[in-house]
Amino acid sequence: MKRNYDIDVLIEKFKKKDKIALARLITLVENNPETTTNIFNNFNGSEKDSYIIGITGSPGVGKSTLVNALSKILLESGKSIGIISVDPTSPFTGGAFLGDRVRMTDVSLHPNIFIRSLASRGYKGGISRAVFDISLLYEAFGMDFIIIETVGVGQSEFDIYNLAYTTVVIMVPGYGDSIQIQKAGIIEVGDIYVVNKKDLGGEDIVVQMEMMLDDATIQSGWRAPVVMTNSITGEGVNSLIEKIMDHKEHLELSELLKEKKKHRFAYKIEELLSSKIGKVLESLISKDDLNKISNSVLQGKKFKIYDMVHHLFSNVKFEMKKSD
Amino acid sequence: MVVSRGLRDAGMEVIFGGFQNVEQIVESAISEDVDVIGLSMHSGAHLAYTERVINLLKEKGVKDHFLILVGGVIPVKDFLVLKEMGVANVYGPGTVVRDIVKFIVENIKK
Amino acid sequence: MFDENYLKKIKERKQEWDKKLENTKERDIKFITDSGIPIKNLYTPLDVKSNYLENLGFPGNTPYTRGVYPNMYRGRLWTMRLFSGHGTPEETNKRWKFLYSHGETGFSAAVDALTFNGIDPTNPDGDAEVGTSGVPLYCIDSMFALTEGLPIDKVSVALIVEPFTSAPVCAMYYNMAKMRGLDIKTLMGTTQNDILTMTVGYVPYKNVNPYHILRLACDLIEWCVPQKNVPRWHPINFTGYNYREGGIDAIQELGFVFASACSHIDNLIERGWKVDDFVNRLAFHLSAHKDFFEEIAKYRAARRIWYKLIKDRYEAKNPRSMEFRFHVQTAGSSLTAQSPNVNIVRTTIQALEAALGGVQSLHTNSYDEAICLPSKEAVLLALRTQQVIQDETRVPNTIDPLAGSYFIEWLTDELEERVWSYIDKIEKVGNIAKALDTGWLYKEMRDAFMRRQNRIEKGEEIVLGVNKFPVPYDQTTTVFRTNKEAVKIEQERIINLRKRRDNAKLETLFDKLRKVCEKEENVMPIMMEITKEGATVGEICDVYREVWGIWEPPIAI
Ligand code: B12
Ligand SMILES: Nc1nc2c(ncn2[C@@H]2O[C@H](COP(=O)(O)OP(=O)(O)OP(=O)(O)O)[C@@H](O)[C@H]2O)c(=O)[nH]1
Ligand SMILES: [Mg+2]
Repeated sequence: MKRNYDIDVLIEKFKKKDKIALARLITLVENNPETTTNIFNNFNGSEKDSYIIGITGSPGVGKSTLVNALSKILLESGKSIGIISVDPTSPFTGGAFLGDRVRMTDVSLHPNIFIRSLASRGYKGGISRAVFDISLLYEAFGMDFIIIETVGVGQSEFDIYNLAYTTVVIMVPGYGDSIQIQKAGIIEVGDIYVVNKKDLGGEDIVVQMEMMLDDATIQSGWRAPVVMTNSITGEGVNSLIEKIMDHKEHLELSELLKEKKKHRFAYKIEELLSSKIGKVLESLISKDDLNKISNSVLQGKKFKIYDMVHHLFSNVKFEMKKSD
Repeated sequence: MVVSRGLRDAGMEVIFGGFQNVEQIVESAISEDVDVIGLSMHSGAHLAYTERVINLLKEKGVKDHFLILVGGVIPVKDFLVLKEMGVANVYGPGTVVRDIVKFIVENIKK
Repeated sequence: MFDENYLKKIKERKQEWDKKLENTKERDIKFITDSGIPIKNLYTPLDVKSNYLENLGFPGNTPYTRGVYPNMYRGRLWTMRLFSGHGTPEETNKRWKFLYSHGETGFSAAVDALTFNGIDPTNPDGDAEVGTSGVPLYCIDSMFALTEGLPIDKVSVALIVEPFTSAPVCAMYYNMAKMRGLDIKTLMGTTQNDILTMTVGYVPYKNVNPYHILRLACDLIEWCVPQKNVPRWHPINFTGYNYREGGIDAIQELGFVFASACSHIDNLIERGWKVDDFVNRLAFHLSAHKDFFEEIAKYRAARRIWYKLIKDRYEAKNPRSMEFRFHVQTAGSSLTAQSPNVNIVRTTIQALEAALGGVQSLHTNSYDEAICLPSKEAVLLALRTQQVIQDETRVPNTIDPLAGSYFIEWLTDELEERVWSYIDKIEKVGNIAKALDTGWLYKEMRDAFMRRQNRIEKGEEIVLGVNKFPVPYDQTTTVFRTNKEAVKIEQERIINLRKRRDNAKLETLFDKLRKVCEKEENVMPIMMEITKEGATVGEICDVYREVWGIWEPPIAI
């Protein structure tokens, strides 16, 4: 095996829209985050903004199949698409099985699409750390749309909301009663709700969802619609795309898109900062110090736990350097 | 599928291709930028398929980027033929998944 | 089955005997069946709960535990039917004639991967596999070539295609028979037509959703049997063998086939038929696996379960509806590429299980099973294996010879009980299509496969030549290779056909097919018309795909 990951060579090819280069740059940003700065510095001045769609929902509701159906139509209208599909990493073995791609074979060979599977690698919220970085790479590559499929998430992991401009939440018949839906807290995250597998029913869920959405207070001026689809035959997918476009237009007209974009970066900045601070703290506070605290907690000082941590932290001092 | 599961349990990220055609296999391997391409074949068409996959990889200039493994019902007489085509190793019936893991770990960082 | 007082006496003596064992040692292994049922060191009348007349009865009488025919093998021996197909229909025809001339009594067509996935050889996605794992049967011309010179009016033919392609392939076959001047009302044979094979048994390529597959399977049943078009045909063979080979155990094997059979019966009842109209023609295909006694008990239990199911749940009136008829295949997954000769021994023992279990039709594997499709020498030996049992051992002299064995009767009861609770477990998930679509069956399969593989890798399940006394792969076995020219031959066959046929007429027939699919009507009548005009399996399946969409299975890893 001879593997070539020379950044300069890859960037040159990337700029000529070479997918092999794109694939390898993704590998770099995913596996060696320290290369990211260097890579991204090559794209300064690139103006392209992609529109980001997030697809989320419980395991097996048909997210991947729907991404396939959506992409088919977007490709037909001449758009280019970058897809990021995230699947869970096993917490026990660290391995992962990435099965989303199997559902996208209809479109995978189209020249205007690029599909990448990712393992969540311990990252929470249904996505993975590299999702943001890959979305930037896709923007630099000039994709019109970016579609992010999250891990099949359970109840409350909807971090996709911070990255996507339009979040589509998928449900299926048999998903549960309305109480279940409310508990899941999904009423707040979806910009569009899809009841997929309409061939198996689901009218009842639509009714419940509509009722709940009517009751929910709307701040953004957008009342989330509910669409029924069969992602295998493609029924209802056109109307889903219409709704996505409506939402996009709504965001653009109301200036909310700017907010969303800002939020997307702010979210990453916060994450980067806290990870940096974490690293600083690790270097300042030794494992011994932490061990001492846990040992004394065990020796009858459990009620002093806060005290001791505050005390330790009060010895740490951050200072902002004055910039010129 | 046993193989996929076994490799996953050994801490690897496995992309399952299902039943794909040659173009799709190559396209997936490139886009996902995998380390290993594993082809599982039980239909007796292993020589023809492997040859096509390898030719397409060569055509795209990426053959040497990947470690290529073949498994399934492969007569031992074909092992050498496959290796001459550029397959790193071949696994027939009765293979212990541990051995595959070991081979991958030993060969991947070369 | 025994007198109370006598049983008491036995119990006393047994306790004495148990004491004798206290100072003996047992080998350090688990004494369990393949499906995990704990096995005692000895069975006595104390273990037999069954009542003779109620639970065993006489062969040909309910509950059929001892066999479905009153005279069993004294009347007619089981059909020796070797699953075969390779290269082209012409070559397969030669192989069939070869086997027939050596005493085979039934034919069985293994079709290639393109045929059962509904792809024509002209499609570049599949051209590498034309004829490599079975015979290509893409159009009516292939059917003539396949059966040329063979007495298909006297010898039954099994077409091993699944519901995705069973309608076109069977229609082609029936049309061919009609054109050869045969009356299809008397035609004998079987279509596998098993929903689970192309789902949990195999990774399908561009097939459609299980709900449609279930309907297609029932279309064939309905058209052949209650609508009386091919009333002597077995339009379905619930193929537990195929999922058993994927790693599940004997209990799950029966659980799967019965749950599946119920879903089909329910579908036909919804269509307005009565069970007695069709159920007698439903057939089964089971495995003969490694656990000798468990497999024999399995066949006996299966007959009793089916009887009760049809009588109690479906309230059938005709006793003939309650007869469980089955084909068996010896377990291919027990065979190895290392020391392939040992496979002959394994297969012989498995074939004996089937014979002792009252099988109706049997396939024995060839010793080169784990290497390639069977060579001529290997397949002849497989046929001879059955013939040794039939003609030389005197095993078929008496019916159900193991009945009354304390162990066998106990194990039959035990299996029956466990199968009933497994059926319940499946049915809690829903009908068979739902159990598939939700991925539940895939998880059962995956878990079973992993369990078996782990047992083998840990050496808990012994495979000679692999994990005990390991030897390298055998270099001397001749590798049977299928004809490389098959692609070209089959492509030409189709191209010629497309030139010859009335393509304008076909256009309108395809429109009609499209409408039938949209309205979810029975596809068989239009299938008879359209295949007669030369439509190919690939073209027909493309209409399915167009109308119903392509389904990707929820594979569990
Ligand atoms: C089980 C089996 C089936 C089962 C599959 C059930 C299931 N859900 O898995 C069923 C019964 C459904 C089946 C069906 C068919 N089968 Co089949 N089947 C077998 C059998 C007996 C065992 C295969 C198996 O699963 N072994 C267990 C696993 C663990 O072993 P394995 O697959 O060899 O994998 C090991 C290694 O090869 C290796 N490996 C495998 N893949 C990979 C991949 C990578 C990347 C690596 C590194 C390693 C690796 O590691 C594995 C672990 O040990 C073989 C014969 C045999 N004994 O090998 C025939 C066999 C594969 N089948 C065959 C055929 C022809 C068919 C059919 C196409 C027949 C037909 N025409 O209808 C049908 C399929 C169509 C249909 N209608 O379903 C032929 C193939 C012929 C050929 N190669 O020339 C074989 C060889 C039998 C024969 N001699 O005729 N089959
Ligand atoms: N009946 C029906 N089945 C569907 C539909 N859409 C998807 N499926 C099936 O549902 C199963 C799961 O589909 P996927 O697309 O893999 O679902 P997913 O949400 O991506 O799953 P994960 O990524 O594993 O969480 C597959 O078998 C699909 O074929 C639909 O509209 N109707
Ligand atoms: Mg998915």
